[in-house]
Amino acid sequence: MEDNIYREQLMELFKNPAYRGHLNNATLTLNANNPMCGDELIITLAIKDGVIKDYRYDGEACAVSLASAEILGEQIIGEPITKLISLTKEELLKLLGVQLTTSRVKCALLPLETLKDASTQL
Amino acid sequence: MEQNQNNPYIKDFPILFRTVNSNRLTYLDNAATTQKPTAVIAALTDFYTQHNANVHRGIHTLSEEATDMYESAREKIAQFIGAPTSSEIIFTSGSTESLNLVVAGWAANNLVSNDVVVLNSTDHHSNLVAWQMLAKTLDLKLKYLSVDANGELDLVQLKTYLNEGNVKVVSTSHISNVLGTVNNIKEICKLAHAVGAKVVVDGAQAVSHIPVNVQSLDCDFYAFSGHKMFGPMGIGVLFGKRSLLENTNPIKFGGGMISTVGLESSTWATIPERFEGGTPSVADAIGLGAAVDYINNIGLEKIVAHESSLNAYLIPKLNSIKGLHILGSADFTKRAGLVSFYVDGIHSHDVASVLSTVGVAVRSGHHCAMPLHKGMSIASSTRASYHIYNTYADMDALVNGINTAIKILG
Ligand SMILES: Cc1ncc(COP(=O)(O)O)c(C=O)c1O
Repeated sequence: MEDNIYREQLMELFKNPAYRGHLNNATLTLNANNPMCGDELIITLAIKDGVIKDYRYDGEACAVSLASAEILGEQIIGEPITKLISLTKEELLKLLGVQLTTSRVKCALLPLETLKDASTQL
Repeated sequence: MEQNQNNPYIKDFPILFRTVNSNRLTYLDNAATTQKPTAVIAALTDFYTQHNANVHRGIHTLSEEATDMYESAREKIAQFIGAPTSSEIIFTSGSTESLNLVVAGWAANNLVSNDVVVLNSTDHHSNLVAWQMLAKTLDLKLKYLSVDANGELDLVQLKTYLNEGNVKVVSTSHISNVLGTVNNIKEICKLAHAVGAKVVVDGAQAVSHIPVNVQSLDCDFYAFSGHKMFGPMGIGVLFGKRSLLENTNPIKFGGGMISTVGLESSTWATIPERFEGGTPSVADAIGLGAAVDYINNIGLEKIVAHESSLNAYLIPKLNSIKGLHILGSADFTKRAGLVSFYVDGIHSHDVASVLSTVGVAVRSGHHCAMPLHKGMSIASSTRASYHIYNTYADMDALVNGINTAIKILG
């Protein structure tokens, strides 16, 4: 059996999410889409004075994307935007704690890359 | 016997003996590409070790041999799909290029503003996007056929479109790569021809799965890919009726496709060379010829019966899994050898990922049919597709893997 990606930590994030949902007071709404695999997330952010006050994500995506979106919440809420901008792909993958194949790396990076692409709007 | 582990064809495919994640490989992604039998691999090796030379260019022995082998592959393919002459068989790189040749070479040259092209809303992007591009350039109208809950094309709607006038082309898949529906091409041709429209068929999922005879179908163009029928990647075919090919412009210009070249203008070689500019994929064409021999040796009736027995075995098992929904016809006698499905609350990627850990290869995503998935309000699906070497044990591995995925992720 390959190094199973559906380990306890990842499944915990997937099954008991803290940040899945939608912010009503969002200052920014982003669509995170990976059409090749049918991942479609909506990310809402509440930003004030350069600080990410709150963050939620929702939509249809695989366990890897969703767990990664969850970790992102843990990392950026209450932090200045600069923290998000300096968060690297490698750090995020390390936080996920599983060995991913090339195609699944794309899933894992979808939420982070969407936020980074929008960083000029932040 | 073919349904069991003593299936006599497994031994013809060396790759089926490798393991994946310490499990026997269960290959159920045949609609994406089939595996290659030793006979095809040997034909490639034989070409490169004994005959390698460019075609139609030299008079040395190797070039003569290569040309004869290339043309005899064309001949075999013509017979295999019932084409009247081998000159109506054009080698391309695959279905995508074949369809692009129809659109950019024939349709661009024969259609005018306000002409109507009827497409199939459940089709692969390769039979949609090129038409959309041409529609923009020429100001054509696109009309889409929908399917019923069983995945059957709405022929009443087709009649309506044809009656509304100006329809010049109906372009559809023979077999849907997601729903597995076998479309009634003969009837579609009859209806379309009655109003003078031409019929273009994407046969990527049909050839090697069901008997195809372009003359009895009476279609005008028929496109397919070698790699989905045990042949090499990088080779495909476009069949076109001679009268239409005469009115088709080449889309690749250069060596091999000209008759004379002046400084200002040139004249084209005869059909089919006219459409095969540049050095063709000679070895792959010969490999495709070997694949045709391989299929003929098995017999298409046997393949049809085999796939339908796998459907009969698998589909009731899938139907009994709670939360699993099959796309397309519930009547498994009406579908080709593939089944797409989704499981409530579990993304297709996760299903495929868990299956991969136990050695089962399936496709997940939108299978290059985004309009179809949007139409069904689902983001993606998982697809298992079979061929002659698959067995009941493969179906069991699939079902067990799906149950494991539900246990982990449900
Ligand atoms: C129905 C259908 N049409 C066209 C294609 C494109 O084939 P190719 O990628 O070989 O050009 C495929 C395969 O992906 C298909 O399933």
